[in-house]
Amino acid sequence: MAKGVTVELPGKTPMRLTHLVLDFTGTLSLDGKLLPGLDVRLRSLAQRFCITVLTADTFGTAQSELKDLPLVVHVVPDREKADIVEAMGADHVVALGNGRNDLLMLEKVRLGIAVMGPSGCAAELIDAVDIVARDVAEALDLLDHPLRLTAALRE
Amino acid sequence: MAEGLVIERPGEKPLEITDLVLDFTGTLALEGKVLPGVAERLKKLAERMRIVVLTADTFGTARSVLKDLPVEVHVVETGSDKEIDIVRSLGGRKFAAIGNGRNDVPMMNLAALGIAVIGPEGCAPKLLALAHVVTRDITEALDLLTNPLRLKATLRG
Repeated sequence: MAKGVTVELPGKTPMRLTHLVLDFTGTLSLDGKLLPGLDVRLRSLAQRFCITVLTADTFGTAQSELKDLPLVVHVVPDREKADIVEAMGADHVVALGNGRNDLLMLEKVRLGIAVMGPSGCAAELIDAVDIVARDVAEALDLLDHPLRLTAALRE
Repeated sequence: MAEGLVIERPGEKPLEITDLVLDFTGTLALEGKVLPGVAERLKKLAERMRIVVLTADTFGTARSVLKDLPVEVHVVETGSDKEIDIVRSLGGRKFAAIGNGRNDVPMMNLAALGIAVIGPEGCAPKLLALAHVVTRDITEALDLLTNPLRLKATLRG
């Protein structure tokens, strides 16, 4: 089965999303620990998306916390996240993040989601993204239910 | 003696915070009562920094419900000379501000670190535009200040 999710947008070209890019610190984790309930969701989403984690890894735990999950982890300098999503083909990427260093990547991708977790969200992201979620689990669940995305994004 | 708070910012100067300025109504309190989890966090933070509560006090309860906490309470009319004086006097200091209302705009404007809270009474959109960090809960906002690495991760860029 071909990977990916199609999000219908009434009156517009549908979004075809194949790659999911995630920030780690503050988005998937708190104080370097993976937040509860995410491992199941990430396993399920890996059947639909190629998942990549791009992180500056402030707490130095990303590789070990994520080692059993079906995704690729890249520890990268703050400014390289946007270049990496561009090389993936940003038009088919959905990205989630909460920090200032996610701003350029969230602007570049087809669907940018700002996540407000327990570490808060850099305020600059709010204006730059397509959707603001108050919880990373809710944000990931949107991707398993494309009609929720249609409802949030339709004009 | 309060030691303050240092937030590391890769590639930029560290941010040193000596004071914390808080709104009361809608930020620390719901309908005039202090929200659960706030009192113990303020006691802990007061060991590190001076805490000032600046409020129009819509419900008229700020002084009485905060009287046992290590905070300075200033009840000021929004836009009054007294409010402007207090905010100006803070301008020379490196302070963090936490608020949710439209009348928190002046203090958010001058804060070295502005944190907007979308609590049970919502948040004025203007504050979202001025803040550095947006949080969904006052306890999470206060916990950022006791865990500066969380702020480092959210603000690095």
